[in-house]
Amino acid sequence: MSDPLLSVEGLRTHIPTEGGIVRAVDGVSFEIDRGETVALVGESGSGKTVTCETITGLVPETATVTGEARFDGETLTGLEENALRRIRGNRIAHVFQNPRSALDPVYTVGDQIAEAITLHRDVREREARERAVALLGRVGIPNAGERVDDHPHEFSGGQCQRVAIAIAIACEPALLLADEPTTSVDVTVQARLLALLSELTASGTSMLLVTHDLRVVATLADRVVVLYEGQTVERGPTEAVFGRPAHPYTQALVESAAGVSEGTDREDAPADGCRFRNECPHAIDACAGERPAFEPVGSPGHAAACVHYASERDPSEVLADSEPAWTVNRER
Amino acid sequence: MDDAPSAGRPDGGSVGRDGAFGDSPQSDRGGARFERIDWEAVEERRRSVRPERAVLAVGLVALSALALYDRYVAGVYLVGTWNVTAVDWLFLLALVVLLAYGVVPAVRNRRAVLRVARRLRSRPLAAASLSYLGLFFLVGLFGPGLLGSPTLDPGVQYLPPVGETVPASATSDCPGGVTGEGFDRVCHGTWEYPLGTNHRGHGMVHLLVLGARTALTVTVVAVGLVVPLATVVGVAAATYGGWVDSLLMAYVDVQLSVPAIVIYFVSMFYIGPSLFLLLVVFGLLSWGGIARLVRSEVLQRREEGYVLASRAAGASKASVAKAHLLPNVTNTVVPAVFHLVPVLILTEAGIAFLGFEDARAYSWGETIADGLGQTVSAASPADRFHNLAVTPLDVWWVSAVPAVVLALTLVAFKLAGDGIRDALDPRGER
Repeated sequence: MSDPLLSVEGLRTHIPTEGGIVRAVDGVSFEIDRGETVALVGESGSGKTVTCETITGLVPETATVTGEARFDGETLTGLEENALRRIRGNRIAHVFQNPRSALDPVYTVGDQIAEAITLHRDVREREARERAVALLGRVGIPNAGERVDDHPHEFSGGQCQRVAIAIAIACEPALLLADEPTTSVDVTVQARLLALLSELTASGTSMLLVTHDLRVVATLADRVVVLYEGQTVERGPTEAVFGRPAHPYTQALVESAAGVSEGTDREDAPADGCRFRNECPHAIDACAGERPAFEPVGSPGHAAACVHYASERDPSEVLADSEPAWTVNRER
Repeated sequence: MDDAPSAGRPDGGSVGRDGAFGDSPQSDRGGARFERIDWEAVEERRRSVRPERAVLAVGLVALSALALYDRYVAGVYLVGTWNVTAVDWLFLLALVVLLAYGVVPAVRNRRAVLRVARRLRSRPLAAASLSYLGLFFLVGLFGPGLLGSPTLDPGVQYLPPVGETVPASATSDCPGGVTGEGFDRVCHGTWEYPLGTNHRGHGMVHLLVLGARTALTVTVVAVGLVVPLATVVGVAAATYGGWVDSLLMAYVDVQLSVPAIVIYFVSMFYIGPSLFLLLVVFGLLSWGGIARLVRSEVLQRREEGYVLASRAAGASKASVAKAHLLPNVTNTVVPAVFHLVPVLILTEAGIAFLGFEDARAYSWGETIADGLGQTVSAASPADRFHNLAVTPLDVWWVSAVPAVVLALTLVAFKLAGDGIRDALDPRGER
């Protein structure tokens, strides 16, 4: 397969607020191949969620979106609302962080799954209902035939997320945008949800997994895209990025996830050049210049946006800090 | 997993039979191309067959046909002795809207309705109130047609209810029989007029039924036309914002600052008192509060996760508003409706009581007034001749019976409103 399913190139989403323009997404580039799971990682506020919402045009109308997101040969950015609606839920589906609030309390879960189906498929109510039961079974809700008539408040948090996933896969989307799908549930439920998601991706659905939990990434993702302050700073195969994090920010992220590093007080990130330079232990004068371009790092597909990896420099000093926090163990 | 094959099927074939996700052949995925589908046509088709719209369209066409027939073919009376007035047309229009957007969805979502009904059963007061309102609806709808117009019959004026007596001088014929002597002669009630009669010899039961029609007209117009208008305005203002919001809320401000009753009295002096005028004036000027309430509620709900989730599933702003925002503001709308309707019924009765309404529209308020004050003392020449004026207390039923029915109706609306609101909330099930 030559062209990727989703390619995001230089995506920028600037949202005007009372306190000025928020550059929520400020230069994000990555690709997702068919059947592939890509993880978007970064700390809170790094623009992961807004990136997802920008792809299907769910950001506020006042936001300015530049750059390009192409999905299956079609440019999504700048597409009119009606055309986007045919893609949302149908070919690209979202799973949100908080499953409880993502379900409408006044409808039964069956009604909500049926709604997702009838939005895109011309089916009769009975067929949609049968389909809803099948989907509930598929996502692992026991007694799906009875529970289809229950309301969201009668489900546990983990089950609600399963229902939300059932809604997302109702129209067999090619791409699933999973925004922190396991953050709001406890660890055991998390593991089961991850198993469900990996089952889905194994059956061919591509997934953009948004999370700040690197363990989840290690379990599910084929490739990793690291965001910092709305910018992609590193991307590459999961093994490569976690095994040998190249960008100083990624190194810090991996270390903090492993409980190694101590938190530093954040300053406001500079607007130009490398936005991480004020906190970077390897910052040099060149960091304040042009925004660093992506430079290849060792293994194929692994690249970092850091001046130290430019061809005329020697990255060994930076790479010396790169310790794999844990071994990436994936059975795929 | 490309969906083109199932989406593209022109017969809109069953997704359900497409098989589970897991067994979808992997080799297909590269080969299947995203097919261009004329979604507009699909949506149009789906939309056009919606039973709500169909019933509304059929109802409106039938109504228009009836109106044309009434205007150009029929004489004074449409059927029998029914001279259709403007109020009747308004009533019929509101009934059609209620049928299309109340009854049809209820039949389609039988399961949900049954669930609400089941929950209502555990609230005896609300259930009793609803039964009363059901009776009120049936009587108001079919009663006047069955009973026809009352005829003036001074011979049987001021007959008392069964088991009650009235000074014989108050009435001339006394089908229930007269007992006693001299000044103590009293007339007994008769089963022909179980609740007695008023000064025109109209049976109280008959008057209650006719008054129920007037009250029902107010109810149906309020629920079928006024409240939907208020709700749509509130939801639209909150959903679309911007100039739509400013314009709609500016209108609401205007109507909130203009007292409807003053407008009614002023226009009454120009075009004469009528129930139609009352409905139009109060219908156009009384819903600002509901619209405001709905708007602020929708503004809150708009930030809920399910709104974003629904949009992410491909729903349009309008359908999110209809499918998710509207049902979630019923907690606000239902009590507001059940508050507005009694207020309007009471206003209508009050205006009729004061005599500022068309005398041809029988109203409970007017009947209450009949039983009190000047009408009674000026009852008949014979009374004045004998200097035996009947006091309102002697003919208490003329005012008391409609007053009790009016009060019962208002209370029933309030209680039913609270009950329905609780029963509609799925979280209250346990």
